[in-house]
Amino acid sequence: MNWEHILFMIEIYIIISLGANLVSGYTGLLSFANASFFGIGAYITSMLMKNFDFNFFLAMSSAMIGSSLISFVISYFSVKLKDVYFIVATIAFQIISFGVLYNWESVTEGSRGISEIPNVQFFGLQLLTSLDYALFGSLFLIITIACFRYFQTTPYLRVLESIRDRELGAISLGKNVSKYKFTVNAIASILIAISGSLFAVYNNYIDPTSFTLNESILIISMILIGGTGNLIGPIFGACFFVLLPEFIRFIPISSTQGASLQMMIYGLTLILMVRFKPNGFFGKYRFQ
Amino acid sequence: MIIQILLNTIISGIILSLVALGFGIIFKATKVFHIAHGGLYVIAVYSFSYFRNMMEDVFSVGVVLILSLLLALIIIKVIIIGIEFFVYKPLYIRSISPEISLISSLGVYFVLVNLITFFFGNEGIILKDEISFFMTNEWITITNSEFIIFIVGISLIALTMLFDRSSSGVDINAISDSYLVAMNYGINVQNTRYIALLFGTFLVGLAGILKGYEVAFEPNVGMAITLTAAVAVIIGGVYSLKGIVFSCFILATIENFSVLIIPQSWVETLTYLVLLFVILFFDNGLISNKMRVETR
Repeated sequence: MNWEHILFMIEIYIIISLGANLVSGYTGLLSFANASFFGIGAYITSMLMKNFDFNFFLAMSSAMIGSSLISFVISYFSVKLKDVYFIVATIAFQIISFGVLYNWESVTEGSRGISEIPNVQFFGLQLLTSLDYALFGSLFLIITIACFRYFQTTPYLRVLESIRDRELGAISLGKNVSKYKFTVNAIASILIAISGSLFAVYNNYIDPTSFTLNESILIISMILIGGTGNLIGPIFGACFFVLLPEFIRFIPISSTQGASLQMMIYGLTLILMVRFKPNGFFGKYRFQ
Repeated sequence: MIIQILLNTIISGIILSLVALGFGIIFKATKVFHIAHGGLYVIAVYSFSYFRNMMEDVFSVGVVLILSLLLALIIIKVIIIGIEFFVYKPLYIRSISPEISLISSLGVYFVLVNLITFFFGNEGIILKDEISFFMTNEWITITNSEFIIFIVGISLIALTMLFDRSSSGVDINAISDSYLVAMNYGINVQNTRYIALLFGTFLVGLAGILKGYEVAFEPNVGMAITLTAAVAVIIGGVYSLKGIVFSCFILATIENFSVLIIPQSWVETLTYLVLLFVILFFDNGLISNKMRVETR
Protein backbone atom coordinates (compact mmCIF):
# COMPACT_ATOMS: atom_id res chain seq x y z
CA MET A 1 0.00 0.00 0.00
CA ASN A 2 1.50 3.33 -1.12
CA TRP A 3 0.76 5.62 1.84
CA GLU A 4 2.23 8.72 0.20
CA HIS A 5 -0.11 8.26 -2.75
CA ILE A 6 -3.11 7.75 -0.46
CA LEU A 7 -2.16 10.82 1.58
CA PHE A 8 -1.93 12.93 -1.58
CA MET A 9 -5.32 11.69 -2.84
CA ILE A 10 -6.90 12.42 0.56
CA GLU A 11 -5.49 15.94 0.44
CA ILE A 12 -6.88 16.76 -2.99
CA TYR A 13 -10.27 15.23 -2.20
CA ILE A 14 -10.51 17.19 1.05
CA ILE A 15 -9.95 20.40 -0.93
CA ILE A 16 -12.61 19.34 -3.46
CA SER A 17 -15.07 18.38 -0.71
CA LEU A 18 -14.55 21.69 1.07
CA GLY A 19 -15.32 23.49 -2.21
CA ALA A 20 -18.40 21.35 -2.85
CA ASN A 21 -19.45 21.86 0.78
CA LEU A 22 -19.56 25.62 0.24
CA VAL A 23 -22.07 25.22 -2.58
CA SER A 24 -24.09 22.24 -1.32
CA GLY A 25 -23.68 22.44 2.44
CA TYR A 26 -23.69 26.18 3.09
CA THR A 27 -25.80 27.41 0.19
CA GLY A 28 -28.03 24.35 -0.28
CA LEU A 29 -27.34 24.00 -4.02
CA LEU A 30 -26.84 20.31 -4.79
CA SER A 31 -24.52 20.52 -7.76
CA PHE A 32 -23.50 17.42 -9.71
CA ALA A 33 -21.03 19.36 -11.84
CA ASN A 34 -18.07 19.36 -9.45
CA ALA A 35 -16.07 16.89 -11.54
CA SER A 36 -16.32 19.33 -14.46
CA PHE A 37 -14.33 21.92 -12.53
CA PHE A 38 -11.89 19.25 -11.40
CA GLY A 39 -11.40 18.41 -15.09
CA ILE A 40 -11.25 22.04 -16.22
CA GLY A 41 -8.53 22.74 -13.64
CA ALA A 42 -6.56 19.66 -14.68
CA TYR A 43 -6.87 20.29 -18.43
CA ILE A 44 -6.04 24.02 -18.39
CA THR A 45 -2.98 23.39 -16.20
CA SER A 46 -1.79 20.46 -18.33
CA MET A 47 -2.23 22.24 -21.65
CA LEU A 48 -0.50 25.42 -20.49
CA MET A 49 2.41 23.54 -18.89
CA LYS A 50 2.91 21.12 -21.77
CA ASN A 51 2.21 23.27 -24.81
CA PHE A 52 3.23 26.75 -23.62
CA ASP A 53 5.90 25.91 -21.02
CA PHE A 54 4.03 27.75 -18.27
CA ASN A 55 5.36 27.36 -14.77
CA PHE A 56 3.00 25.40 -12.46
CA PHE A 57 1.85 28.35 -10.38
CA LEU A 58 1.04 30.46 -13.44
CA ALA A 59 -0.78 27.54 -15.08
CA MET A 60 -2.71 26.86 -11.87
CA SER A 61 -3.68 30.53 -11.57
CA SER A 62 -4.94 30.48 -15.16
CA ALA A 63 -6.91 27.30 -14.34
CA MET A 64 -8.45 29.05 -11.32
CA ILE A 65 -9.50 32.02 -13.45
CA GLY A 66 -10.83 29.79 -16.24
CA SER A 67 -12.74 27.60 -13.82
CA SER A 68 -14.30 30.56 -12.00
CA LEU A 69 -15.42 32.06 -15.32
CA ILE A 70 -17.05 28.77 -16.37
CA SER A 71 -18.68 28.52 -12.92
CA PHE A 72 -20.87 31.47 -13.94
CA VAL A 73 -22.85 28.98 -16.02
CA ILE A 74 -23.69 26.96 -12.88
CA SER A 75 -24.44 30.21 -11.04
CA TYR A 76 -26.83 31.18 -13.80
CA PHE A 77 -28.58 27.80 -13.39
CA SER A 78 -28.79 28.32 -9.62
CA VAL A 79 -30.40 31.74 -10.06
CA LYS A 80 -32.79 30.60 -12.78
CA LEU A 81 -33.68 27.06 -11.66
CA LYS A 82 -34.93 25.46 -8.47
CA ASP A 83 -34.83 22.01 -6.86
CA VAL A 84 -34.84 19.06 -9.23
CA TYR A 85 -34.39 21.24 -12.31
CA PHE A 86 -31.16 22.67 -10.90
CA ILE A 87 -29.81 19.16 -10.24
CA VAL A 88 -30.79 18.00 -13.73
CA ALA A 89 -29.13 21.07 -15.24
CA THR A 90 -25.89 20.38 -13.36
CA ILE A 91 -25.98 16.71 -14.44
CA ALA A 92 -26.45 17.86 -18.03
CA PHE A 93 -23.58 20.36 -17.65
CA GLN A 94 -21.37 17.58 -16.29
CA ILE A 95 -22.18 15.28 -19.22
CA ILE A 96 -21.66 18.11 -21.74
CA SER A 97 -18.27 19.01 -20.25
CA PHE A 98 -17.24 15.34 -20.40
CA GLY A 99 -18.43 15.23 -24.02
CA VAL A 100 -16.31 18.30 -24.84
CA LEU A 101 -13.20 16.84 -23.16
CA TYR A 102 -13.76 13.51 -24.90
CA ASN A 103 -14.64 14.71 -28.40
CA TRP A 104 -12.71 17.95 -28.92
CA GLU A 105 -9.62 16.03 -29.98
CA SER A 106 -7.70 18.95 -31.52
CA VAL A 107 -7.53 20.67 -28.13
CA THR A 108 -7.92 18.01 -25.42
CA GLU A 109 -6.47 15.04 -27.36
CA GLY A 110 -9.77 13.23 -26.74
CA SER A 111 -9.79 9.72 -25.34
CA ARG A 112 -5.97 9.46 -25.67
CA GLY A 113 -5.66 12.06 -22.92
CA ILE A 114 -2.72 14.37 -22.27
CA SER A 115 0.52 12.61 -21.37
CA GLU A 116 3.99 13.77 -20.36
CA ILE A 117 2.72 16.64 -18.24
CA PRO A 118 5.84 18.26 -16.70
CA ASN A 119 6.56 17.93 -12.99
CA VAL A 120 6.31 20.91 -10.65
CA GLN A 121 9.49 22.97 -10.41
CA PHE A 122 10.14 25.97 -8.18
CA PHE A 123 13.25 27.63 -6.74
CA GLY A 124 15.38 25.00 -8.50
CA LEU A 125 13.49 22.14 -6.83
CA GLN A 126 11.68 19.49 -8.85
CA LEU A 127 8.93 17.35 -7.31
CA LEU A 128 9.41 13.75 -8.38
CA THR A 129 8.14 11.27 -5.80
CA SER A 130 4.73 10.67 -4.21
CA LEU A 131 6.13 11.92 -0.92
CA ASP A 132 7.17 15.22 -2.55
CA TYR A 133 3.66 15.68 -3.87
CA ALA A 134 2.07 14.65 -0.57
CA LEU A 135 4.08 17.39 1.19
CA PHE A 136 3.33 19.88 -1.57
CA GLY A 137 -0.40 19.01 -1.42
CA SER A 138 -0.39 19.42 2.36
CA LEU A 139 0.68 23.06 1.91
CA PHE A 140 -2.40 23.73 -0.21
CA LEU A 141 -4.58 21.82 2.21
CA ILE A 142 -3.35 23.82 5.21
CA ILE A 143 -3.92 27.11 3.36
CA THR A 144 -7.41 25.97 2.30
CA ILE A 145 -8.38 24.90 5.84
CA ALA A 146 -6.99 28.15 7.30
CA CYS A 147 -9.02 30.18 4.78
CA PHE A 148 -12.07 28.08 5.55
CA ARG A 149 -11.67 28.63 9.30
CA TYR A 150 -11.42 32.37 8.72
CA PHE A 151 -14.36 32.19 6.35
CA GLN A 152 -16.50 30.59 9.05
CA THR A 153 -16.15 33.70 11.20
CA THR A 154 -17.31 36.10 8.48
CA PRO A 155 -20.87 37.36 7.91
CA TYR A 156 -20.58 36.15 4.30
CA LEU A 157 -21.01 32.53 5.38
CA ARG A 158 -24.02 33.39 7.54
CA VAL A 159 -25.68 34.98 4.51
CA LEU A 160 -25.04 31.78 2.55
CA GLU A 161 -26.68 29.78 5.35
CA SER A 162 -29.66 32.10 5.31
CA ILE A 163 -30.02 31.55 1.54
CA ARG A 164 -29.94 27.80 2.16
CA ASP A 165 -32.49 27.91 4.99
CA ARG A 166 -34.87 30.49 3.56
CA GLU A 167 -33.98 32.28 0.35
CA LEU A 168 -37.00 34.57 0.52
CA GLY A 169 -35.97 35.65 4.03
CA ALA A 170 -32.48 36.54 2.79
CA ILE A 171 -33.99 38.59 -0.05
CA SER A 172 -36.34 40.36 2.36
CA LEU A 173 -33.31 41.38 4.45
CA GLY A 174 -31.93 43.14 1.38
CA LYS A 175 -29.30 40.56 0.46
CA ASN A 176 -28.44 40.25 -3.20
CA VAL A 177 -28.93 36.48 -3.40
CA SER A 178 -27.79 36.20 -7.03
CA LYS A 179 -24.49 37.92 -6.21
CA TYR A 180 -23.86 35.50 -3.34
CA LYS A 181 -24.66 32.51 -5.53
CA PHE A 182 -22.27 33.75 -8.21
CA THR A 183 -19.43 34.34 -5.76
CA VAL A 184 -19.83 31.08 -3.82
CA ASN A 185 -19.84 29.06 -7.05
CA ALA A 186 -16.72 30.90 -8.20
CA ILE A 187 -14.90 30.25 -4.90
CA ALA A 188 -15.87 26.56 -4.94
CA SER A 189 -14.79 26.15 -8.57
CA ILE A 190 -11.42 27.77 -7.75
CA LEU A 191 -10.82 25.31 -4.91
CA ILE A 192 -11.80 22.36 -7.09
CA ALA A 193 -9.62 23.64 -9.96
CA ILE A 194 -6.62 23.78 -7.59
CA SER A 195 -7.18 20.08 -6.86
CA GLY A 196 -7.44 19.40 -10.59
CA SER A 197 -4.10 21.14 -11.20
CA LEU A 198 -2.40 19.12 -8.45
CA PHE A 199 -3.96 15.89 -9.75
CA ALA A 200 -2.66 16.55 -13.29
CA VAL A 201 0.96 17.27 -12.34
CA TYR A 202 1.05 14.38 -9.86
CA ASN A 203 -0.09 11.79 -12.42
CA ASN A 204 1.74 13.38 -15.40
CA TYR A 205 -1.23 12.12 -17.42
CA ILE A 206 -4.93 12.89 -17.57
CA ASP A 207 -7.82 11.66 -19.67
CA PRO A 208 -11.56 12.46 -19.61
CA THR A 209 -12.51 9.25 -17.74
CA SER A 210 -11.25 10.82 -14.49
CA PHE A 211 -13.87 13.58 -14.75
CA THR A 212 -17.16 11.78 -15.31
CA LEU A 213 -20.54 11.98 -13.62
CA ASN A 214 -19.38 9.09 -11.38
CA GLU A 215 -16.69 11.39 -9.99
CA SER A 216 -19.29 14.06 -9.22
CA ILE A 217 -21.41 11.47 -7.45
CA LEU A 218 -18.36 10.40 -5.45
CA ILE A 219 -17.87 14.03 -4.34
CA ILE A 220 -21.53 14.37 -3.34
CA SER A 221 -21.26 11.02 -1.47
CA MET A 222 -18.24 12.40 0.40
CA ILE A 223 -20.08 15.43 1.68
CA LEU A 224 -23.26 13.45 2.39
CA ILE A 225 -21.54 10.81 4.52
CA GLY A 226 -19.41 13.28 6.45
CA GLY A 227 -22.11 15.87 6.71
CA THR A 228 -22.35 19.37 5.35
CA GLY A 229 -22.18 22.88 6.70
CA ASN A 230 -18.97 22.46 8.69
CA LEU A 231 -15.27 21.63 8.32
CA ILE A 232 -14.99 18.16 9.79
CA GLY A 233 -17.74 16.50 7.69
CA PRO A 234 -16.08 16.86 4.27
CA ILE A 235 -12.69 15.88 5.75
CA PHE A 236 -14.20 12.67 7.15
CA GLY A 237 -16.04 11.96 3.88
CA ALA A 238 -12.90 12.42 1.77
CA CYS A 239 -10.82 10.15 4.05
CA PHE A 240 -13.55 7.48 4.07
CA PHE A 241 -13.97 7.32 0.30
CA VAL A 242 -10.28 7.49 -0.56
CA LEU A 243 -9.46 4.72 1.91
CA LEU A 244 -12.42 2.54 0.87
CA PRO A 245 -10.82 1.12 -2.35
CA GLU A 246 -7.72 0.23 -0.34
CA PHE A 247 -9.83 -1.98 1.95
CA ILE A 248 -11.74 -3.47 -0.98
CA ARG A 249 -8.40 -4.72 -2.35
CA PHE A 250 -8.23 -7.19 0.54
CA ILE A 251 -11.41 -8.91 -0.70
CA PRO A 252 -10.50 -11.76 -3.07
CA ILE A 253 -12.37 -10.53 -6.18
CA SER A 254 -11.24 -9.34 -9.62
CA SER A 255 -10.37 -5.66 -10.19
CA THR A 256 -13.55 -5.18 -12.29
CA GLN A 257 -15.66 -6.62 -9.49
CA GLY A 258 -13.76 -4.45 -7.01
CA ALA A 259 -14.64 -1.34 -9.04
CA SER A 260 -18.30 -2.44 -9.20
CA LEU A 261 -18.35 -3.08 -5.45
CA GLN A 262 -16.88 0.37 -4.86
CA MET A 263 -19.61 2.01 -6.97
CA MET A 264 -22.27 -0.07 -5.18
CA ILE A 265 -20.98 1.26 -1.88
CA TYR A 266 -21.22 4.85 -3.21
CA GLY A 267 -24.81 4.14 -4.24
CA LEU A 268 -25.69 2.51 -0.92
CA THR A 269 -24.14 5.46 0.90
CA LEU A 270 -26.45 7.85 -0.92
CA ILE A 271 -29.52 5.70 -0.13
CA LEU A 272 -28.69 5.00 3.52
CA MET A 273 -27.52 8.49 4.43
CA VAL A 274 -30.63 10.13 2.96
CA ARG A 275 -32.85 7.52 4.65
CA PHE A 276 -31.27 7.23 8.11
CA LYS A 277 -28.82 10.07 8.66
CA PRO A 278 -29.71 13.04 6.46
CA ASN A 279 -27.21 15.31 8.23
CA GLY A 280 -24.29 12.87 7.81
CA PHE A 281 -22.04 11.79 10.66
CA PHE A 282 -20.78 15.25 11.58
CA GLY A 283 -22.98 17.63 9.59
CA LYS A 284 -24.85 20.67 10.81
CA TYR A 285 -27.31 20.83 7.96
CA ARG A 286 -30.00 18.20 7.41
CA PHE A 287 -30.97 17.37 3.82
CA GLN A 288 -34.74 17.04 3.67
CA MET B 1 -30.08 7.22 -47.11
CA ILE B 2 -32.68 9.73 -45.90
CA ILE B 3 -35.36 7.01 -45.86
CA GLN B 4 -33.06 4.75 -43.83
CA ILE B 5 -32.36 7.57 -41.33
CA LEU B 6 -36.11 8.20 -41.12
CA LEU B 7 -36.70 4.53 -40.29
CA ASN B 8 -33.96 4.63 -37.61
CA THR B 9 -35.61 7.78 -36.21
CA ILE B 10 -38.97 6.00 -35.92
CA ILE B 11 -37.38 2.98 -34.21
CA SER B 12 -35.38 5.03 -31.70
CA GLY B 13 -38.40 7.32 -31.18
CA ILE B 14 -40.52 4.30 -30.25
CA ILE B 15 -37.95 2.93 -27.78
CA LEU B 16 -37.44 6.37 -26.24
CA SER B 17 -41.21 6.89 -26.01
CA LEU B 18 -41.63 3.68 -24.00
CA VAL B 19 -38.88 4.68 -21.56
CA ALA B 20 -40.17 8.25 -21.31
CA LEU B 21 -43.82 7.25 -20.84
CA GLY B 22 -42.76 4.94 -18.00
CA PHE B 23 -40.65 7.70 -16.49
CA GLY B 24 -43.43 10.26 -16.87
CA ILE B 25 -46.11 8.07 -15.28
CA ILE B 26 -43.84 7.31 -12.32
CA PHE B 27 -42.85 10.97 -11.95
CA LYS B 28 -46.49 12.05 -12.03
CA ALA B 29 -47.52 9.58 -9.34
CA THR B 30 -44.53 9.65 -7.00
CA LYS B 31 -42.88 13.04 -7.68
CA VAL B 32 -39.59 11.12 -7.75
CA PHE B 33 -37.15 11.92 -10.52
CA HIS B 34 -36.71 8.19 -11.04
CA ILE B 35 -33.12 7.78 -12.30
CA ALA B 36 -33.25 4.14 -11.15
CA HIS B 37 -35.49 3.61 -14.20
CA GLY B 38 -32.25 3.23 -16.19
CA GLY B 39 -31.06 0.48 -13.85
CA LEU B 40 -34.29 -1.47 -14.39
CA TYR B 41 -33.93 -0.99 -18.17
CA VAL B 42 -30.55 -2.72 -17.96
CA ILE B 43 -31.59 -5.43 -15.50
CA ALA B 44 -34.54 -6.43 -17.75
CA VAL B 45 -32.17 -7.11 -20.65
CA TYR B 46 -29.55 -8.96 -18.63
CA SER B 47 -32.06 -11.15 -16.81
CA PHE B 48 -33.87 -11.88 -20.10
CA SER B 49 -30.55 -12.88 -21.69
CA TYR B 50 -29.60 -14.98 -18.64
CA PHE B 51 -32.86 -16.95 -18.61
CA ARG B 52 -32.83 -17.36 -22.38
CA ASN B 53 -29.33 -18.85 -22.32
CA MET B 54 -30.21 -21.05 -19.35
CA MET B 55 -33.34 -22.54 -20.92
CA GLU B 56 -32.45 -22.69 -24.62
CA ASP B 57 -31.41 -26.35 -24.47
CA VAL B 58 -34.46 -27.39 -22.47
CA PHE B 59 -37.46 -25.86 -24.26
CA SER B 60 -38.39 -24.84 -27.79
CA VAL B 61 -37.50 -21.31 -28.99
CA GLY B 62 -41.02 -19.87 -28.54
CA VAL B 63 -41.42 -21.23 -25.01
CA VAL B 64 -37.94 -19.99 -24.07
CA LEU B 65 -38.72 -16.46 -25.29
CA ILE B 66 -42.06 -16.27 -23.46
CA LEU B 67 -40.69 -17.74 -20.21
CA SER B 68 -37.59 -15.52 -20.30
CA LEU B 69 -39.72 -12.45 -20.93
CA LEU B 70 -42.09 -13.28 -18.08
CA LEU B 71 -39.26 -14.02 -15.65
CA ALA B 72 -37.37 -10.83 -16.60
CA LEU B 73 -40.51 -8.74 -16.10
CA ILE B 74 -41.24 -10.44 -12.76
CA ILE B 75 -37.69 -9.68 -11.57
CA ILE B 76 -37.86 -5.98 -12.39
CA LYS B 77 -41.34 -5.73 -10.86
CA VAL B 78 -40.10 -7.33 -7.62
CA ILE B 79 -37.18 -4.89 -7.62
CA ILE B 80 -39.42 -1.84 -8.14
CA ILE B 81 -41.71 -2.95 -5.30
CA GLY B 82 -38.59 -3.30 -3.11
CA ILE B 83 -37.40 0.18 -4.16
CA GLU B 84 -40.78 1.70 -3.31
CA PHE B 85 -41.02 -0.13 0.00
CA PHE B 86 -37.48 0.49 1.26
CA VAL B 87 -36.47 3.74 -0.44
CA TYR B 88 -39.24 5.92 -1.89
CA LYS B 89 -42.10 5.24 0.53
CA PRO B 90 -40.15 6.18 3.69
CA LEU B 91 -39.09 9.43 2.00
CA TYR B 92 -42.66 10.15 0.90
CA ILE B 93 -43.92 9.57 4.46
CA ARG B 94 -41.32 12.06 5.73
CA SER B 95 -42.34 14.55 2.99
CA ILE B 96 -38.76 14.72 1.73
CA SER B 97 -38.15 17.19 -1.10
CA PRO B 98 -37.93 15.89 -4.71
CA GLU B 99 -34.21 16.66 -5.01
CA ILE B 100 -33.40 14.41 -2.05
CA SER B 101 -35.54 11.64 -3.58
CA LEU B 102 -33.52 12.12 -6.77
CA ILE B 103 -30.30 11.51 -4.84
CA SER B 104 -31.75 8.29 -3.40
CA SER B 105 -32.86 7.22 -6.85
CA LEU B 106 -29.37 7.90 -8.16
CA GLY B 107 -28.02 5.69 -5.37
CA VAL B 108 -30.42 2.91 -6.37
CA TYR B 109 -29.33 3.26 -10.00
CA PHE B 110 -25.68 2.80 -9.04
CA VAL B 111 -26.43 -0.23 -6.91
CA LEU B 112 -28.49 -1.90 -9.69
CA VAL B 113 -26.05 -1.24 -12.53
CA ASN B 114 -23.03 -2.28 -10.52
CA LEU B 115 -24.76 -5.47 -9.43
CA ILE B 116 -24.96 -6.27 -13.13
CA THR B 117 -21.29 -5.41 -13.77
CA PHE B 118 -20.29 -7.36 -10.65
CA PHE B 119 -21.94 -10.58 -11.86
CA PHE B 120 -21.82 -10.22 -15.67
CA GLY B 121 -18.78 -7.96 -16.25
CA ASN B 122 -18.54 -4.74 -18.24
CA GLU B 123 -18.77 -6.34 -21.68
CA GLY B 124 -21.90 -5.83 -23.67
CA ILE B 125 -24.36 -8.58 -24.58
CA ILE B 126 -26.22 -9.20 -27.83
CA LEU B 127 -29.71 -10.66 -27.74
CA LYS B 128 -30.12 -11.43 -31.41
CA ASP B 129 -28.28 -14.45 -32.72
CA GLU B 130 -28.39 -13.57 -36.38
CA ILE B 131 -29.68 -10.71 -38.51
CA SER B 132 -32.61 -11.64 -40.69
CA PHE B 133 -34.20 -9.16 -43.03
CA PHE B 134 -37.87 -8.42 -43.15
CA MET B 135 -37.37 -6.30 -46.26
CA THR B 136 -34.35 -5.00 -48.12
CA ASN B 137 -33.92 -3.01 -51.35
CA GLU B 138 -31.71 -0.20 -52.67
CA TRP B 139 -33.35 2.53 -50.51
CA ILE B 140 -34.12 0.83 -47.24
CA THR B 141 -33.27 -2.19 -45.13
CA ILE B 142 -35.66 -3.31 -42.40
CA THR B 143 -34.48 -6.07 -40.12
CA ASN B 144 -36.87 -8.44 -38.38
CA SER B 145 -36.03 -6.91 -34.99
CA GLU B 146 -36.89 -3.42 -36.30
CA PHE B 147 -40.21 -4.73 -37.59
CA ILE B 148 -40.96 -6.32 -34.21
CA ILE B 149 -39.95 -3.11 -32.36
CA PHE B 150 -42.31 -1.14 -34.60
CA ILE B 151 -45.32 -3.41 -34.05
CA VAL B 152 -44.79 -4.07 -30.32
CA GLY B 153 -43.73 -0.48 -29.62
CA ILE B 154 -46.72 1.13 -31.31
CA SER B 155 -49.04 -1.34 -29.52
CA LEU B 156 -47.48 -0.47 -26.15
CA ILE B 157 -47.77 3.27 -26.79
CA ALA B 158 -51.45 2.75 -27.66
CA LEU B 159 -51.88 0.62 -24.52
CA THR B 160 -50.36 3.42 -22.44
CA MET B 161 -52.82 5.95 -23.89
CA LEU B 162 -55.67 3.58 -22.99
CA PHE B 163 -54.19 3.05 -19.52
CA ASP B 164 -54.16 6.83 -19.02
CA ARG B 165 -57.94 6.84 -19.61
CA SER B 166 -58.60 3.81 -17.36
CA SER B 167 -59.62 4.19 -13.72
CA SER B 168 -55.99 3.58 -12.63
CA GLY B 169 -54.80 6.27 -15.04
CA VAL B 170 -57.40 8.70 -13.70
CA ASP B 171 -56.27 7.89 -10.14
CA ILE B 172 -52.65 8.58 -11.12
CA ASN B 173 -53.64 11.93 -12.62
CA ALA B 174 -55.58 12.71 -9.45
CA ILE B 175 -52.71 11.97 -7.07
CA SER B 176 -50.33 13.89 -9.33
CA ASP B 177 -52.37 17.03 -8.58
CA SER B 178 -52.65 16.54 -4.82
CA TYR B 179 -52.27 13.51 -2.56
CA LEU B 180 -54.50 15.10 0.07
CA VAL B 181 -57.41 15.92 -2.23
CA ALA B 182 -57.14 12.49 -3.89
CA MET B 183 -57.29 10.81 -0.46
CA ASN B 184 -60.39 12.83 0.42
CA TYR B 185 -62.03 11.46 -2.71
CA GLY B 186 -61.30 7.91 -1.52
CA ILE B 187 -58.29 7.15 -3.71
CA ASN B 188 -55.75 4.83 -2.14
CA VAL B 189 -52.59 6.84 -2.77
CA GLN B 190 -50.15 4.08 -1.85
CA ASN B 191 -51.80 1.51 -4.14
CA THR B 192 -51.92 4.05 -6.96
CA ARG B 193 -48.20 4.71 -6.50
CA TYR B 194 -47.55 0.96 -6.78
CA ILE B 195 -49.69 0.73 -9.95
CA ALA B 196 -47.79 3.63 -11.55
CA LEU B 197 -44.41 2.15 -10.60
CA LEU B 198 -45.37 -1.30 -11.90
CA PHE B 199 -46.78 0.02 -15.18
CA GLY B 200 -43.82 2.36 -15.76
CA THR B 201 -41.39 -0.48 -15.02
CA PHE B 202 -43.29 -2.82 -17.37
CA LEU B 203 -42.79 -0.27 -20.16
CA VAL B 204 -39.09 0.30 -19.48
CA GLY B 205 -38.42 -3.44 -19.19
CA LEU B 206 -39.99 -4.15 -22.57
CA ALA B 207 -38.21 -1.13 -24.08
CA GLY B 208 -34.88 -2.52 -22.87
CA ILE B 209 -35.52 -5.99 -24.25
CA LEU B 210 -36.65 -4.59 -27.62
CA LYS B 211 -33.55 -2.38 -27.76
CA GLY B 212 -31.39 -5.37 -26.84
CA TYR B 213 -32.60 -7.09 -30.00
CA GLU B 214 -31.54 -4.10 -32.10
CA VAL B 215 -28.01 -3.36 -30.80
CA ALA B 216 -25.38 -4.71 -28.39
CA PHE B 217 -26.25 -3.74 -24.82
CA GLU B 218 -23.85 -2.52 -22.12
CA PRO B 219 -24.60 -2.11 -18.40
CA ASN B 220 -23.95 1.65 -18.43
CA VAL B 221 -26.46 2.63 -21.12
CA GLY B 222 -29.28 3.08 -18.61
CA MET B 223 -28.28 6.55 -17.40
CA ALA B 224 -28.10 8.07 -20.90
CA ILE B 225 -31.51 6.80 -21.99
CA THR B 226 -33.14 7.79 -18.69
CA LEU B 227 -31.80 11.32 -18.88
CA THR B 228 -32.85 11.56 -22.53
CA ALA B 229 -36.30 10.30 -21.49
CA ALA B 230 -36.32 12.94 -18.75
CA VAL B 231 -35.51 15.56 -21.40
CA ALA B 232 -38.49 14.30 -23.41
CA VAL B 233 -40.76 14.46 -20.35
CA ILE B 234 -39.63 18.02 -19.61
CA ILE B 235 -40.05 19.10 -23.24
CA GLY B 236 -43.40 17.36 -23.63
CA GLY B 237 -44.72 18.51 -20.29
CA VAL B 238 -45.12 16.09 -17.40
CA TYR B 239 -48.91 16.01 -17.63
CA SER B 240 -49.26 15.22 -21.31
CA LEU B 241 -48.51 11.69 -22.51
CA LYS B 242 -49.08 12.73 -26.11
CA GLY B 243 -46.63 15.59 -25.60
CA ILE B 244 -44.06 13.13 -24.21
CA VAL B 245 -44.38 10.84 -27.26
CA PHE B 246 -44.17 13.83 -29.61
CA SER B 247 -41.05 15.17 -27.89
CA CYS B 248 -39.44 11.70 -28.02
CA PHE B 249 -39.79 11.75 -31.78
CA ILE B 250 -38.37 15.31 -31.89
CA LEU B 251 -35.34 14.13 -29.89
CA ALA B 252 -34.95 10.99 -32.01
CA THR B 253 -35.06 13.20 -35.12
CA ILE B 254 -32.36 15.50 -33.70
CA GLU B 255 -30.20 12.51 -32.73
CA ASN B 256 -30.52 10.67 -36.03
CA PHE B 257 -30.47 13.57 -38.49
CA SER B 258 -27.74 15.53 -36.70
CA VAL B 259 -25.22 12.91 -37.86
CA LEU B 260 -25.58 14.47 -41.31
CA ILE B 261 -23.95 17.68 -40.03
CA ILE B 262 -21.97 16.77 -36.89
CA PRO B 263 -19.93 13.67 -35.94
CA GLN B 264 -21.86 10.87 -34.19
CA SER B 265 -19.79 11.29 -31.00
CA TRP B 266 -21.20 14.82 -30.46
CA VAL B 267 -24.84 13.73 -30.67
CA GLU B 268 -25.19 12.97 -26.95
CA THR B 269 -23.70 16.36 -26.07
CA LEU B 270 -26.20 18.00 -28.42
CA THR B 271 -29.11 16.21 -26.69
CA TYR B 272 -28.05 17.61 -23.30
CA LEU B 273 -27.65 21.09 -24.79
CA VAL B 274 -31.28 20.80 -25.93
CA LEU B 275 -32.22 19.76 -22.37
CA LEU B 276 -30.46 22.79 -20.88
CA PHE B 277 -32.10 25.10 -23.40
CA VAL B 278 -35.56 23.71 -22.61
CA ILE B 279 -35.30 23.77 -18.82
CA LEU B 280 -33.79 27.24 -18.82
CA PHE B 281 -36.27 28.86 -21.18
CA PHE B 282 -39.37 26.62 -21.25
CA ASP B 283 -39.81 25.34 -17.72
CA ASN B 284 -43.35 24.10 -18.44
CA GLY B 285 -42.17 22.16 -21.49
CA LEU B 286 -42.44 23.14 -25.13
CA ILE B 287 -45.89 21.62 -25.45
CA SER B 288 -47.60 22.83 -22.33
CA ASN B 289 -50.81 21.21 -21.21
CA LYS B 290 -53.88 23.41 -21.01
CA MET B 291 -54.63 24.06 -17.33
CA ARG B 292 -57.14 26.13 -15.44
CA VAL B 293 -55.69 29.50 -14.48
CA GLU B 294 -55.98 28.92 -10.72
CA THR B 295 -54.00 25.64 -10.90
CA ARG B 296 -51.02 27.10 -12.76
